[in-house]
Amino acid sequence: MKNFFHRQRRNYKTLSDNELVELAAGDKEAFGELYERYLTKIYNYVYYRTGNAQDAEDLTAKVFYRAMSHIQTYEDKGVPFQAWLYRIAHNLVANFHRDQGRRKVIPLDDYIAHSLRSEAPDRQTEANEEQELLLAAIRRLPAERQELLLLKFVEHKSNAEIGQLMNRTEGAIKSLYHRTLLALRDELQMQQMNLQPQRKIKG
Amino acid sequence: MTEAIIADDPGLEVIVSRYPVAPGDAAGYRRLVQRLHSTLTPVEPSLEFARRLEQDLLGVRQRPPGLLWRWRRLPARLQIAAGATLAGGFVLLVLRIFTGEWRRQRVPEEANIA
Repeated sequence: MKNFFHRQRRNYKTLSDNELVELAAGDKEAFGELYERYLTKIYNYVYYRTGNAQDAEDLTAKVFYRAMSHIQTYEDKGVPFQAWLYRIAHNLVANFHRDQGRRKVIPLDDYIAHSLRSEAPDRQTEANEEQELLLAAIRRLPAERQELLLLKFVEHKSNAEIGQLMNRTEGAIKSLYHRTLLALRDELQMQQMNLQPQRKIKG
Repeated sequence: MTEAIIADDPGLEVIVSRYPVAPGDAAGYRRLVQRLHSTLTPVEPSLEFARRLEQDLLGVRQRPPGLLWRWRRLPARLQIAAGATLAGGFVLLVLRIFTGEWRRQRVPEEANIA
């Protein structure tokens, strides 16, 4: 009898996202598998869009709570589950920035401390400054361009995959990426021009 | 070019030379993409956070599954068979009680004692 019931247990690892979504409405283990698959991806997305680990944890938790409570509303209309999850994250990050905008906080310290701990102090200062400038420039881009850069550089996704997640054609993503690089280059040049007089005063 | 930089492709120079871009522009793009590649690196959430959130979300998962939960996971025809067996058993029990068989079986025992 015991074996009979055990035969019904599923191997969730082998199921597709859509199969798991169907089960997840009434089966927490299925949702647990989706959680394992996407926790790091969502955390990365939120981390780079907020700039610190504390906010990234809070928002990542909210993303999964919202996904769990609304999973029965997800319908597969050609848009992958992952895109639905990113959409939730996008909305929560947008709300977060709207609230933060009133306080004007741009925390980058966590990131810099995390990524450059092992470098020599003088090189570290220089690299810190460069990365800080780049991250600040990225955060000034429109949300969809930030998403594109994160999917490409953090997730290592191809243009076709990004297109599927952002509901655009591969060509549109290619073009958006090109425009994003141009905008970023202009933004960095502007930053450099603004920084040079300050450095001269300091020097 | 981006894919080649992300993948640390040794043939990057060949790829760059394929495009009709001025050498200065190509070098500028390359520097920018390399900066993006070294800045936007994957990060891992802390293990403590991942475990805590999993427990908060799926706390019920640790509880042993009940009979109703198991019944719901059976294939439809087995659900019907299990339901019919339960209903049949209940009907038999009720019939036994109401036809008095229950009482009749007990009478001889009581008579023996007397």
